[in-house]
Amino acid sequence: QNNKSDPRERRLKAIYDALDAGNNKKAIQEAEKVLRKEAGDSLCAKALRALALLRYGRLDEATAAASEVERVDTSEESVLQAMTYFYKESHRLDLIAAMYERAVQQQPKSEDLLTSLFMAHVRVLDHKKQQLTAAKLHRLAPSKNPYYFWSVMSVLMQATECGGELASKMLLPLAAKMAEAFRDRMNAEAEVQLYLMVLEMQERFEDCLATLDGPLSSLLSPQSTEMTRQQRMGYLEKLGRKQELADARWEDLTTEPNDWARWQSCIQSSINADISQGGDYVEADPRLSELQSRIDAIAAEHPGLSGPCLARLELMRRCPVSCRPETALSLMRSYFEAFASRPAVASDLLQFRSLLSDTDENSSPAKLLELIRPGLPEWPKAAADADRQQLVRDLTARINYEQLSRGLLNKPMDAEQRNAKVAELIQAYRANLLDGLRPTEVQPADDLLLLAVSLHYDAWLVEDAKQSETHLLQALYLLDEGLSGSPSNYNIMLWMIRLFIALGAWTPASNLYERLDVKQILLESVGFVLSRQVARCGLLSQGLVMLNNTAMFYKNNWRDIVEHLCTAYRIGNFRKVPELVALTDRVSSSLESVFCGLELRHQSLLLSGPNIVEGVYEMGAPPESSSSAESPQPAFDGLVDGRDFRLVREFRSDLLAATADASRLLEDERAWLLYRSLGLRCVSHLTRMATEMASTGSVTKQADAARALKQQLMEQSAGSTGDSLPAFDIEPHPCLPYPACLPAHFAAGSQALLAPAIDYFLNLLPPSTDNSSAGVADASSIDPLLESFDAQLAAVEVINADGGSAATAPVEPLFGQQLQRLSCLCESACLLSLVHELTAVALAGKLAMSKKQRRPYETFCRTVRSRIGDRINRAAAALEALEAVWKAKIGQAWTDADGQEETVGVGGDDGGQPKRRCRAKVDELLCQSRCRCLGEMLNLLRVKARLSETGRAGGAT
Amino acid sequence: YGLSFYLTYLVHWPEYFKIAESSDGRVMGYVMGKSEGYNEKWHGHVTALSVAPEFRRLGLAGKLMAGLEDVSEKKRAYFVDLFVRVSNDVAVALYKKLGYTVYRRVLEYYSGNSSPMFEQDEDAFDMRKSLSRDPERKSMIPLEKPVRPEDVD
Repeated sequence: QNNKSDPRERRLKAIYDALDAGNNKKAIQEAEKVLRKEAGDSLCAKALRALALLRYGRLDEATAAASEVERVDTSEESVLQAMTYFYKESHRLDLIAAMYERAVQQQPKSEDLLTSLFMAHVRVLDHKKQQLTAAKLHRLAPSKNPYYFWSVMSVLMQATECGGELASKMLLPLAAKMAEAFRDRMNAEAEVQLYLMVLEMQERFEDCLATLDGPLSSLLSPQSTEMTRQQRMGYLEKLGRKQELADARWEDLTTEPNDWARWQSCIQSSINADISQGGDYVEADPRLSELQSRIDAIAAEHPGLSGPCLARLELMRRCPVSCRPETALSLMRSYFEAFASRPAVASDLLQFRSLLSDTDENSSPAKLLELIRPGLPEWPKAAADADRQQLVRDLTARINYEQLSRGLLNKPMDAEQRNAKVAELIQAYRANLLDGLRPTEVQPADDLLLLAVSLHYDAWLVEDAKQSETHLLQALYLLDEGLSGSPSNYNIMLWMIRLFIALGAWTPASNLYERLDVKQILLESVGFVLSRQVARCGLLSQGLVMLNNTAMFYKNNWRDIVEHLCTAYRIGNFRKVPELVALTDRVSSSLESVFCGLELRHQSLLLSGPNIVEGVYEMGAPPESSSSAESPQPAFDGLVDGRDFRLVREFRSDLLAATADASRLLEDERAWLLYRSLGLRCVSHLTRMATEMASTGSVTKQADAARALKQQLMEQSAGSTGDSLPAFDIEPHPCLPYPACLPAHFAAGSQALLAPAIDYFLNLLPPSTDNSSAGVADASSIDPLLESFDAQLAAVEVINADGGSAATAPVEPLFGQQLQRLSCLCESACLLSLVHELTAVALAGKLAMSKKQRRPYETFCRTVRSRIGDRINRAAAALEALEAVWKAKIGQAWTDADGQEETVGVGGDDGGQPKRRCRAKVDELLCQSRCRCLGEMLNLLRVKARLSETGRAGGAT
Repeated sequence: YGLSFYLTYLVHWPEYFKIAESSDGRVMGYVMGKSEGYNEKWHGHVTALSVAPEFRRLGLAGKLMAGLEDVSEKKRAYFVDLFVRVSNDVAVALYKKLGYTVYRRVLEYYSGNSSPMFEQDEDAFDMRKSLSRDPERKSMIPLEKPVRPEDVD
């Protein structure tokens, strides 16, 4: 750009400008203009044209344009840069390295090119080639330390990657030797840290300590003091120098006597040091009382701090011989009394619940509550003249007490107690709403409302009231009221999402999810609250969008992380290199990523409309099943579950226990992933079978593979419908998947169609087709397939019959469950439609024969078409009837609400009843959303039905 | 923020990340920042400070800020600065309590539609607190006129 008079530069600049402005179409035109003017000579313009085409979405042309550039070996910087962008954006990082390899061959002495090559290897985590490239750079510029330490780091990363003897006997000693050779030339903190990293991996912790105390420590910056303190304690721990470690920890504590992590390490290291000196503690051990006095002394020194008070309880928990329930009770009591007006006191104490006695009344949880109750402030009341700070303190104390009491008593109340408690909580909630809060702040009283919601949820779980929606609705009405006063309370929104889904209302749940602003890394920890629901809420285009967003997040992040890895090398932050590499691993083994990827493929297959066969090819079979059916089913081992089940606060430890069993929860997910990927393999195999039958006229090549796949399907169905996975079992904790995907899906009869579909195709053509006029399969070969579908349809028609009348209980009492059954029926209908399409494909060759010969095939196709069409139409009719029931209810809720006076007022004695306005609003949302789900499914079925009517399957392709 | 945003900070300024965890292992809040500027404008900057709603009123924000200021002291910065929505009076009051003053107003620093909560463009206060290297508190002397975001250095 410096040479403004150069017309060639000027023309190129126009392309760059258009690209920068995001005007890709113009960039293409500008590039083509340059190419015309320069008779196609400008490689740079070609590369930029490829990039612009890619960004414009013209992928085939982009690839063609790029390969034209690739044919020429060049070291021209602008071309290489443009192509680097091209490869990054097409997720082909491997090709960047290949391109720079070629460029370096042309200019082996270029530091810039070699640096670019080094970074290209970093992006694909090729540590060995990184090392070689860094070595070349070092030879070119021996005075530049960074190049040298890049190669040390690359050796270290090879050791991390391969482990074992190769690492310990060869790579690590090499890295250490390289670093030590440069000890005297080290001039940056990063280099010292790298040296420490090598020593740590070699477990040479004495040398680590010596380095921290030696001359190299002068290179460590003042802001790293905190880190080096932690490092030092880590080394002492590794070396088993327990007394020194304990002393260091206590010293560390004195600077931050309220830091809970420091307390925990202090107590643990003191216990370890004592025990290593003279065996386990016994009762009345003087060492133990010494430790207690040490804690007490700090508590006395800092009377306002909560940490030292909790520390005594922590000692009891870590060292049960020191625990006396009556002492625990008195410590917990004084903790509550001292800090009751601060937030989170209940959860501080509840972790020590097990220190109390379940047998001795005097040190029982109930006793603790009895003792602290008299000291509680009265329920406050918000008023214009009230002291707001005092009010919030009093409110917090009451909330802490209610939360503590829920967690300590740990069991559901009977109906009478519960109704009284709900009334008390809701009245207190309504009396304590504060004015003038920013929309981002939450009402302190919300916690009362959430406790009332938990009580309704308890009732639903316990009283076998799962048969009715009543308690869930009551909870939703209250939550809706809460949200209007606290528009950003995420606990309220998460509860509502869960309840709306249970009640079969996707749209309000999805709107709340959007309002929660779940994006980026939250997709990993929070995304599951909705992503797990796509399959059970009908085949929704909205669900597809959501899954696609998540899938893109993971794909793009991998690319972003390796860019930061390059930066870490560039600025010499070597400590972050292994962390970032671990993060790439973490991203690729994310459960959420795999889940959404598979679900996305599955849903788009079902929604793919009239070109379903092409659709299967287009999106490609899942990578793990792209090989033949005999290849082993992916086990989905090594997935990491990042879902945060503690999002919704719950205080009852029995309910919390369900979230703690991480392995069971992950097992449920794996079972589902196996099932889904098997289903996808099956569909892609059926498609392949059909096309091969068309070209060869036989199934012999595919038969064995198909049978193997069928076998796997049967095995998985048998394994998953056993006693271990009870159908529709509702998870007790509000944050858990509701219910686990696979059992719910199987209970809705969804798996039954795939195996008969394979059988049908195996029987579609006889093994030999020599006698071309004979041998078309009997039309009855489709019967087992239709029977499975009829069973599903029958179950739905029962729902339908009951949907309109309240007299008989429907098969699935919750609409959420009904919807799941309907959604499974829809999936099956899509599969039937696919079978019908594939029949036509398989028989295409036969249908092209002479008129006389093709007649039996035409008859066969027509029969299959009409029988499948009939089923899909019946399914549509069932849905239509149900939709009519719900359509009729739209608008009624408001009429009912308007017809009566609102008696619920602020602070009035209304028994904690929901407000009528909230009831009407929620009821209306439910009706509309149910109609919408049914409507979308109905549309899909109609598309499929029309497909069979137009007789695509009847005609030759 | 996007993952990439956090990673940029993690790679360049890891020392500025502080997290507060509750006794039962929940994340209560975090702070992140950076150091930048030349000569007497060399300063620490608060990029994000966040305390979960259920852990407010525990003094966590002050603790996290003190940590960030401590790092900035060690890096010999002259002052620490931060941007805050002018409407966020709770936060502005908190920062004032911690010794910060409004140095200048930055017009339409926050663009609308960045979150479902805020639909309008909004001005920011640029608030500053001098560190020990600026004993005369020169860096805190308020500017009279507001500035445009593009003129913020």
